[in-house]
Amino acid sequence: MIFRVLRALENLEELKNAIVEGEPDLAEELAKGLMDSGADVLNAINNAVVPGINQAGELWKQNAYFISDVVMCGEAFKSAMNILEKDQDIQNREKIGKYLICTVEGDMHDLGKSIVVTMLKGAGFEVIDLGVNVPITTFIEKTKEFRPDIVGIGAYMSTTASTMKDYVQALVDNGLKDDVKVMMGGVRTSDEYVKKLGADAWGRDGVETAEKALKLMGVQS
Amino acid sequence: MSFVRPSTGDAIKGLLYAKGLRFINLNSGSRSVAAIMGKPDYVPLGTAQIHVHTMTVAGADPERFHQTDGAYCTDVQTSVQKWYGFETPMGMAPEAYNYEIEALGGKLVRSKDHMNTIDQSDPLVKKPEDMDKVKVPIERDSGRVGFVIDSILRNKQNSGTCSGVFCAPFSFICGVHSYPRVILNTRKNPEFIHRLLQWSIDDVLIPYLQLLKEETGAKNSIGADAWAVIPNISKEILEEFVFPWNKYLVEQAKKKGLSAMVAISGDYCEDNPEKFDPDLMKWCWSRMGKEMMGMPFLMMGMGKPELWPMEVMQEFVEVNKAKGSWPPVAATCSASYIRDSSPYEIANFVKRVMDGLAREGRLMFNAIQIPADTPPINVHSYIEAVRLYGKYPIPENLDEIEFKPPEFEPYKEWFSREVAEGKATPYE
Repeated sequence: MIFRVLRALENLEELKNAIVEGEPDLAEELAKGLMDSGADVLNAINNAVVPGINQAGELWKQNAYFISDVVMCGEAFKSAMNILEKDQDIQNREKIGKYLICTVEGDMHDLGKSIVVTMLKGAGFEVIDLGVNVPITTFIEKTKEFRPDIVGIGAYMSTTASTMKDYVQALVDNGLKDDVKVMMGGVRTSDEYVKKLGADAWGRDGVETAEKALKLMGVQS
Repeated sequence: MSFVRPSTGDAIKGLLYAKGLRFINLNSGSRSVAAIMGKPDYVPLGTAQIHVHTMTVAGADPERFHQTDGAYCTDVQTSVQKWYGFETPMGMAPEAYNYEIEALGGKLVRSKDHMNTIDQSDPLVKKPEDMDKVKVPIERDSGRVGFVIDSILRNKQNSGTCSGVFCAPFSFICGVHSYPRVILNTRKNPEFIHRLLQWSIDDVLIPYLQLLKEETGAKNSIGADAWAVIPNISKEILEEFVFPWNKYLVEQAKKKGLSAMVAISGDYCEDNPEKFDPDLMKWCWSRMGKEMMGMPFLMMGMGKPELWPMEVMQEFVEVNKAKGSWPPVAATCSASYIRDSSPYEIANFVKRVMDGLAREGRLMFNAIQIPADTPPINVHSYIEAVRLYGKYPIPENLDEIEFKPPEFEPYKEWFSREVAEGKATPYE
């Protein structure tokens, strides 16, 4: 019995390390192994996958990791979650909140957004990712459909950054703004700039976005 | 840094001026060389990647500017820079990361109002075997190569400068294979990434530079490498996959009678003050400078230089100077700072840099990546401040010099007047 418990703990540690070290193939293999062995999947997410991606975020904050490392950790996180999320209990588990995210129309930049999505999932959000080059009409339609707690709008060029205010105005025009918080991010943005465009908060990077999103939900990270 | 590469004559003049021959009249090219080697008459001011701002100021047609008319694109940039009073008004084809990929058949997302973007979700080379299916070399009628050629030729006509811009090898493979795939394969299949880099240089970039030379006469060119910066990639990736291949490209270009230089690989772009790391920043300046020009180079590039401690920059200069390798400094503020600050804040930034780094020379100022919606008064103020505080000898107490935001004629009125007086050709 004791050996089984120790082995289970070891598996969790290995999965966590696979994510921290950015090994997508290994993370997938270990997640499959956990599923096949009938392990507690929620326990694996809470004690291996989420701590793994959070540790990667910490290493990023400490300058030990570069974006290239975070990308790899994100890939490992996704590989593990793709397997573990097949579990029915996991699909039904309660989330901290619903976060709808997109890159504005005319802008195809996806890298920053995909890191943000990973960190938000790690923080416990249900994330609806509309992708890139998203027109205002689609953004509004999906906001009405999913009723998110937070919308995240990203733009990565100076010509597209200023259009983020039109997305906020569309929320106002459609009577949605009072029910949703708005976050913005992107290379040319700053705290001061996005406030002028109507955002409630600025996400400098994936880690900070997740921290501020939790704060907007009234959760201390 | 400015995309202007000085001629040999200007380089000699600049060098002699810096050595003390003050009777030489400097132009923008020789002034830059004098600034790299010592003290010019005043601190030079260059530009790079301010095209979307010029397009916005001029009210230019975005589709024509980005997609269809290289000469128009160059004229608009040149005209707005002239209005601002930049030293070397000029305009290059702006999508430095896109033209080669597009010409090979890579998928770009086109937009009527904005720059195009490479679709990283659907890259041209998804798997190693895709590389062999790409038709090379790039031809004159591929993608927007004609646009680039028209832009270079118009720039030659407008400014006398004939040089090309290309996508540096590492940024090129991030476009052709996508950044996440490149990163993944630096670990999983490094041999393929090296093969992809070699192919990009031998089969794509060198023939492309030869084509530009044949069509325009441009022997000199600068490679842009915004993917290969800290913190986008690690020091290890820079050392293994970036610097050696940049060197290889420069050597191969030389063999073909071309002078290629790769800029900004290894630039320190961290913009979070909480993550500021002076040691890493100094490493970047040392390595990037060594690779670019064979000496340390304090470059304020795409990060947030307005937040960097002056003492760190001064220490870097002093330590290297003591070792006999006095680094030039290229100064700028960040894109968001020039857009979001007041004219007085901008002038104070310039004053602080002049006070801390200009006195003994080897300082250049640049205006880099000015966002589209930057108020023109901010750019005018930046230029005014460089002129006001950057005249040699730099006064002891710069606080005694009063800065006032300059008055200026609106662009459209200025341009109409220039046309009426025969000093500009209407580009409509």
